[in-house]
Amino acid sequence: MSMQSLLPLFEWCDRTAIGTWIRTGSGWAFPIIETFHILALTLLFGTVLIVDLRLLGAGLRRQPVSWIAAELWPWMMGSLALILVTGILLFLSEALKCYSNAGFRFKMVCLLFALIFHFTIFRHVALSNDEARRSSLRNKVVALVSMTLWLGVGVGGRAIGFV
Amino acid sequence: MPSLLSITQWLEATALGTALRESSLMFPIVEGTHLLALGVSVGTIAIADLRLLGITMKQERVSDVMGQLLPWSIGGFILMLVTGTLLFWANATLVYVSPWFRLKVLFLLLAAVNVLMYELTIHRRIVEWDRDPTPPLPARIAGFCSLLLWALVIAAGRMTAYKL
Repeated sequence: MSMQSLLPLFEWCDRTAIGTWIRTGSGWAFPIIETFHILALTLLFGTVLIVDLRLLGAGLRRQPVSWIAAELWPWMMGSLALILVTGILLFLSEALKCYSNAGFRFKMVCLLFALIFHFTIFRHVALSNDEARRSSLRNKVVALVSMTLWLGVGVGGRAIGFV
Repeated sequence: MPSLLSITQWLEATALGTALRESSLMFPIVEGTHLLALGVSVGTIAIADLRLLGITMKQERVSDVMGQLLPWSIGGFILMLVTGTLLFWANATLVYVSPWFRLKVLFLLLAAVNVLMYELTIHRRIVEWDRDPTPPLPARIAGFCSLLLWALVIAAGRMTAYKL
């Protein structure tokens, strides 16, 4: 599928009532929604990082990986939900700007891979009952891939406003 | 004695201030690192606060959870402080007069007062409640204030950048 065929979809998003209102209705809507976006991503980033560090053998070393991951999982899911809702609202308000934005494209590719990885390999490895205190090579690789993908999402997101 | 305003004018006129402001790459990199460090620091602080509130990791000792997360909270905080100073340096006068930035500094100071009050009071008796799934009320209040104040710091920080 070429990007060209997605243009009508982006145009439609840009014209939605909610997107138009966020863009033009009030100068406050966008910053307020973005603030919640940032608050939620701080929590997601922090909780994912704690599990990644544990997989690398650093931080909260006295508890098993699976226990930490299970305790933090609901917080990851809650913050992810808030990020997606606020992110979609922000997108609707500037869909056409995003369409031609290299930062946005990079972010979406990273996000797709980050989500797939998070709900398959990361979830399986982090939640499987791993009592060993030593960090295996597999755990280290999973942690580094997880960190890299989420870092890509963050960098791409920050780049939207700069490129 | 020079006024604070003249200091900020001098700051942003320095070679570093000018370079930070005018480079198309340096400012995004410094701001990106500032946000990244925010995730590391406030992300781990938030989990420690949630343990103080008796919401997550209840089976583990409070001192164990907080002690193991603390190096990351502090490391991230130092990186935030360094990058934050550089961001201020680049636009010192505009940021100095911004009411949002003043609010941000106020919330940061209140967060520091909150930590100090916790350390000087209920934390001194932590051996008595370290294993409690739900810590005593003063500890829960400190955890709640920390979460709230950091959220306000982030919100005011975002507004500072918007209204510059």
